[in-house]
Amino acid sequence: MGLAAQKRVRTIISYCILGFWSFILLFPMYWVVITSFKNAIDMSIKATYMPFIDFQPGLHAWRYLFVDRLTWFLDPFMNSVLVAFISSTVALVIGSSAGYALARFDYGGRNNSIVLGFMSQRMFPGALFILAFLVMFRELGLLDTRLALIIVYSSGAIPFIVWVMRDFFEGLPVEIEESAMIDGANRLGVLFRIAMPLAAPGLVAVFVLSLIGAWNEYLVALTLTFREAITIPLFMTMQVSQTGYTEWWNMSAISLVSVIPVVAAGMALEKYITGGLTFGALKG
Amino acid sequence: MESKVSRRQFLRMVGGAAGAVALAACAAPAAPAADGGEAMSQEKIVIRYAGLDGMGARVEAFMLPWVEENGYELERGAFGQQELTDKIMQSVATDTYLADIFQFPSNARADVINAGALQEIPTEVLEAIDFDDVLPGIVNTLSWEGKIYALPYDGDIHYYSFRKDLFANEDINSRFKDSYGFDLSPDTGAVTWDQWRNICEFFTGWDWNENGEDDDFGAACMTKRGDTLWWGFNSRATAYAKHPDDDAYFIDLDTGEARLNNPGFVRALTEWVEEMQNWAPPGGTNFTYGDSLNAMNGGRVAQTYNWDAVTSATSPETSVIQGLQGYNILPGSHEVFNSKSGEWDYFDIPSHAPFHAFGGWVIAVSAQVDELAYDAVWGFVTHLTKPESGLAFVTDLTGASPYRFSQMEAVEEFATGPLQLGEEVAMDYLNAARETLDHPNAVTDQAFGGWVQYRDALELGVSKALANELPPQDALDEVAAAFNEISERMGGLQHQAELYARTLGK
Amino acid sequence: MATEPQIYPSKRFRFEIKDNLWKWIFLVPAVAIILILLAVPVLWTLYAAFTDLHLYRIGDFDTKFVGLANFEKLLSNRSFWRTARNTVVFMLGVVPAQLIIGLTVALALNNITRGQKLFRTWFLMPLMVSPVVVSFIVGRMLFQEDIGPINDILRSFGFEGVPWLTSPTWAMVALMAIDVWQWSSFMILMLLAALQGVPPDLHEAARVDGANQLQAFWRITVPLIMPITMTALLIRIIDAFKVVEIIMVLTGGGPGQATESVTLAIYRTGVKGGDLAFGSSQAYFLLIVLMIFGGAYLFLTRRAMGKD
Repeated sequence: MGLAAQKRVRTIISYCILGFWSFILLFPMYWVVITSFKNAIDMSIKATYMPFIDFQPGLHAWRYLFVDRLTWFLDPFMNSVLVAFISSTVALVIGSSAGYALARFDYGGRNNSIVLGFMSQRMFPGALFILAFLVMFRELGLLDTRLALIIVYSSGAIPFIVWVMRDFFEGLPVEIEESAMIDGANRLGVLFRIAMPLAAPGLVAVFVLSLIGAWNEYLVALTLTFREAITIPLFMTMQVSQTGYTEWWNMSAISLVSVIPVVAAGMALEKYITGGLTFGALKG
Repeated sequence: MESKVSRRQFLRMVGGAAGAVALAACAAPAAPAADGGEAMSQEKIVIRYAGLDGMGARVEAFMLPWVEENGYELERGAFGQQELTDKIMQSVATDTYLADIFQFPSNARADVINAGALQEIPTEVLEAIDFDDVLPGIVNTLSWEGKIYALPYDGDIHYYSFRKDLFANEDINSRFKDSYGFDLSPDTGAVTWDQWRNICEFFTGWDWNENGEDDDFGAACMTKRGDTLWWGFNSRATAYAKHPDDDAYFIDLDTGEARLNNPGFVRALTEWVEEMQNWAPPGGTNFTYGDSLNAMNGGRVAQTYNWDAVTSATSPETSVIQGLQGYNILPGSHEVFNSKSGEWDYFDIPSHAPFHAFGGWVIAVSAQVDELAYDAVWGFVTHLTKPESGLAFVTDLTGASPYRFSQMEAVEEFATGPLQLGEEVAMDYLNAARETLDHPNAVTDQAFGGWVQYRDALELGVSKALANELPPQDALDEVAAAFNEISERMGGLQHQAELYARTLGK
Repeated sequence: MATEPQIYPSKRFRFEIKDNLWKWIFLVPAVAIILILLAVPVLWTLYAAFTDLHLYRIGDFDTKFVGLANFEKLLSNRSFWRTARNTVVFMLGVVPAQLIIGLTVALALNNITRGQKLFRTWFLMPLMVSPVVVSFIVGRMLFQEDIGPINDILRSFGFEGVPWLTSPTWAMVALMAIDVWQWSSFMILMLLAALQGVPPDLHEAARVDGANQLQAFWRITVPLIMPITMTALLIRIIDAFKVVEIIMVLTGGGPGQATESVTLAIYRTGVKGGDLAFGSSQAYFLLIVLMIFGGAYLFLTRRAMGKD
């Protein structure tokens, strides 16, 4: 077998592997989409796979969600939106300033240790925090408020942002900033007018990743919110345990509504996100 | 070092430090997030209600005309079965406002009331709703140290239910009698757990529901940890482990020692594991309460015990056994274990010990109700629990069960009202309810504080036995050890025994 | 771009202009927040682990220091060891599976040119989905025992339906499958980035020297992607130790206690049961294990790679 033929075989095998894994990832998503169009009867006797062929799709789950129970669904949805956006913004501002500072200033030669210190947060198990947070936010009277979640999620995202953004800023040439300063700009102006725009790809990546993290978080939300401030993941699980019956179709519709925005955002910004995810590790 | 820093002080210190940061971090974006005291700014008085989603929806439908008539607004928080208890317990323990009115399981009453989370029910309200009409067994679940803190809503207790039609079938009965030597009774079903076992075995493995499928079994019970296993197991165990001469069931009233691993409980678990593994539908060792109802209503099992035995069985959408079901008090036993003597005592007439399986959902008014909403909230509660409303509730497809003397007499409404039970079934059902709630040897559910933990410990051990991870004795030894440990942490065995005595009305 | 490995040492990136005020204004908020929101819980939990702090106790009690009682209880507690064992089993199940799938798919992806971006984008999808939703979709729906599609397909091929959620072993397998479904993508993307950092001419050179495909892979590619692989593995191992959400949604820890993780046990005793003290001691145990493990891992991998 010649080299070219060998290469062809390798390519074919590669596509087979990729196709297979894509299918594994696709099937559950397909299933949740069709389930959201099923009626109770389509799920009580046997599994059904193809709309119009082995079951007649209906819109009742979507009507349930967007017409019958819209108000009831809207509160947790808005909570999720507000908490995710505000916490990510706060974390972005604070975290990227610190990342910038660690890239540009010398802290007695301990810059790397400081960054490592930030990252050590990742080692701490979430379980260690929830107990303390429950008591801490009780004393502050902040249980069941969005503010509590915003505080926790911001602090959770900051270390990652510091880590990635520091590397990012280090990759930008320092000379532009210095000449701007010689021209009389102050440091804050340099950060926001020069460094930040140049670092936009990195900022987008870490912002979206923080956003997704906050949007999907469950354990802390479960511990700190009760009714007023519950977020989408919490809302979802509360629907399941109602009577022991699961309304699969309604749950599927809710899942899709919670998944589509972040998946769409993530996939649209794929280049940045992959960068953000793999960035730190690549530096070893 | 002696610890003289009180917990509160320490927490304050910690809280203060964290608060400073919180404010620094969130000064800018806090505006849209800060959401305290918004009730003040609205013109309409909002009544906030927290409860189960399903029952809450019915409350909402029922109450909406009243709410609108009075110019109030209703905001309903909907929770899943599990989350509701957790969230109420947490909000109570952390002094966090959850809602003005909440529905909660009466097991949690000691915890909730002692935390000062509830308002005592005013005498006017008690009079307005004719409180004397409520059965004593239910009143017990509403009160603490002689004061009433909650109102009845749903007299949820376990009923034994069985397939009257099968038990009345002569052909089936003669075959049954050949094997077991006694008659199947369409009037009472199994009177003892021994009979229940025989029935379980007999109805497994042949096509008595005549659908051509291999889906016929003796019984289905709630066996899933984190769901309702606590009640599934206790209802099965009371007849063996609750002695008529001894008030206590869970723990000893003198020493506070857990009884969960005594021979009465071990026998119950050993038998139950056998039944659920051999004579229940596939997956029967991990059934939710809904699964066990489905199995009964789907005509796949001959008997079960459950709460809402009526509603789902009458609806043609969920049931194939309308009108075929008989109800009775939970089976009893000739042998009852006597913890004091350490021996099994024999009773000629079977001893019953019906378990007031959590005794029902109750509603109560939070101590944190806004002053402006005070009248609205009490008005709401009164309207919801007065006799007319109560009767409408329990005789409709709500899943709520009767809890008043007057409701026990309302055969007509049950027979021909929305439930359409028919006279015979209605009688059976009401008799079973009354007999259970009025029974001298009834077992009050655990309510002496720490319920969530005790429940969790028991469900953990029992589910290990059901999954064959441990033999019943070992599993219950673990449960008993866990019970004692929890009691220790809740303030000592003696302390818990005292609280237990109080829940028994001692 | 960010995806390419970058090497800086020679480049100047520090300011020469001193600016002490801004230097601190930029850094202090982040440090303060992390320090307080990290230090307070860590210290408070340590304190709680030595007391009998409880949320739901009825009556007037002062919080007492109980010394090591909570830790003694922990070490003798069979339930706790069961959850520890479950957590380790889970980790040992998912991480190698993710590594193998990650490497296979990343190699395939590195091998093609057309459609690479498309696949890469699609593979990102599971990482964007909340674990709660993943556990619901993949777990509750697909592994449903009666009429779930997986059992349905098995039955249509004449096999028995698998008791996914009622058998202790299969329930664990189902959980692992969920985690593998979601997090293999992380491995794929990390390893792909690593593979793309391997200069193709090195590979060619090895081939010219007579090494076959496999030998070239072992001698050239593996050592070069090793550092990233090790980092990715560490991240996944730590996350696997902390698993909780998918379990809450799929099995709640059951049947029995067969799938309860340490974190779930902490939530169950500490938050749900209100036993803050015992919950804290378990949390500390987990923290210490993670610290020791993480430290040893870093030390050993650094040393192993240093020797090569």
